[in-house]
Amino acid sequence: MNAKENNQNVMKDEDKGLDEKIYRAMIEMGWVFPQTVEEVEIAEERMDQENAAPHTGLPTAPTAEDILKRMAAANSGAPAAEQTQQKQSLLSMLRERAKMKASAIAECLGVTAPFLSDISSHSAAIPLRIRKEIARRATASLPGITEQDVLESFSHNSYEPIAAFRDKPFEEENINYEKIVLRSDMSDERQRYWLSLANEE
Amino acid sequence: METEIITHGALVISEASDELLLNLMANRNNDQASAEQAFTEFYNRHKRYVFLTACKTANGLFDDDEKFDLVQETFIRAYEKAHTFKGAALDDTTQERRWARAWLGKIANNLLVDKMRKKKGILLLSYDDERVKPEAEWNRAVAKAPRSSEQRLVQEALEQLTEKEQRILRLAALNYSPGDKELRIPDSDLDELATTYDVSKASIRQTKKRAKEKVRNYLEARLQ
Repeated sequence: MNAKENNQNVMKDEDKGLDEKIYRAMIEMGWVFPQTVEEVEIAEERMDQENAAPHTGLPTAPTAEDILKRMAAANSGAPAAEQTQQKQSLLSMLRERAKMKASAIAECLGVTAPFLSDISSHSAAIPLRIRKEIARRATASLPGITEQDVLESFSHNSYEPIAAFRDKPFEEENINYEKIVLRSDMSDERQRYWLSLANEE
Repeated sequence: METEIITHGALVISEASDELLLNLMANRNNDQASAEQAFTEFYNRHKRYVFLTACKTANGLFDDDEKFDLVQETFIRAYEKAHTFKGAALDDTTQERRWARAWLGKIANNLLVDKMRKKKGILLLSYDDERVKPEAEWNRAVAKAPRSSEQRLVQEALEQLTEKEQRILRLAALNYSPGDKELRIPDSDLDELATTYDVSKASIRQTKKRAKEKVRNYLEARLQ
């Protein structure tokens, strides 16, 4: 082995060492699923240190029964994935079709991201006139969207049991369209516009 | 107590080892009821761990619904692939539990990578969107980082990388198994990334290389 080859091997070894350190650091940071007993131990210790409550930041976890039902449904020829596909919320549909971030979509529609998120999550509370206006704007300003797509997606409230095959919806907050407008971060003038538009029905 | 004790003949399901539970699941074609009882116990035993791990791992990549799905699909895959589980004959129940969780981790990791591939645009930020940390900012971060263990330093270095660099290394790490030669991004992912963002594969490899160099330099600066 000549000196050049020797140097290359040393560099490869150093690189491998660095890669392992990076991988291990990512395990400790929770960026990668632990896949060995040692890595699981690290993850468990981190969880203990963080003293996290179960399912922090997430709604109630499904039960084993929920999952068994989902499997049974899939095996009986009603794939959960298809069911999910059919029940896409407004925002999910727009993001998927337009391939844009929520904030960019909101800008195209002339609304704020919180407003867009809220009308998507609480579609049952959205007056028909508003749905039509959002559909009109989406068709005019976003690629690959039809008014029908938007109006249909309004019928799929994201608080319904969708992707995770929930039997019980998340706890629904007491919300109405006026509240959505008032917490939308829009200017007073735009808030007045969106409120008055609802009254045009 | 969250786990309900279910008696199954002479067997108390709640006291069964993970390997036995998975054996019962693998035998579902012959005994569906026992398989479902075993699944319920296995799920209740590990769901908190998997949920918390998934929340952390998928944070910033997926929304809550998608994280839920990832967890559920992990357990569904575990049920379907229960026959592939190889017990380690560990006497220590804690170690045995970790062995099962490591297996679940492999399943979850594969599912996560699959989901990332399907969800275009998640792997990287747009190249136009990248907020590159100015060199001066990077140097300041190096200078003020407290001295600590090498591993902690690697974490600090990773936190200093741009989001794009982090995601590229993360993608490589998700495809890495302990003992592999290097952190690498599969060619199929490189192709997709190159197409999606209209850059060359070499450019993506270069970003990964640059990210690693930054980590190396950070370590060298702190460990000298």
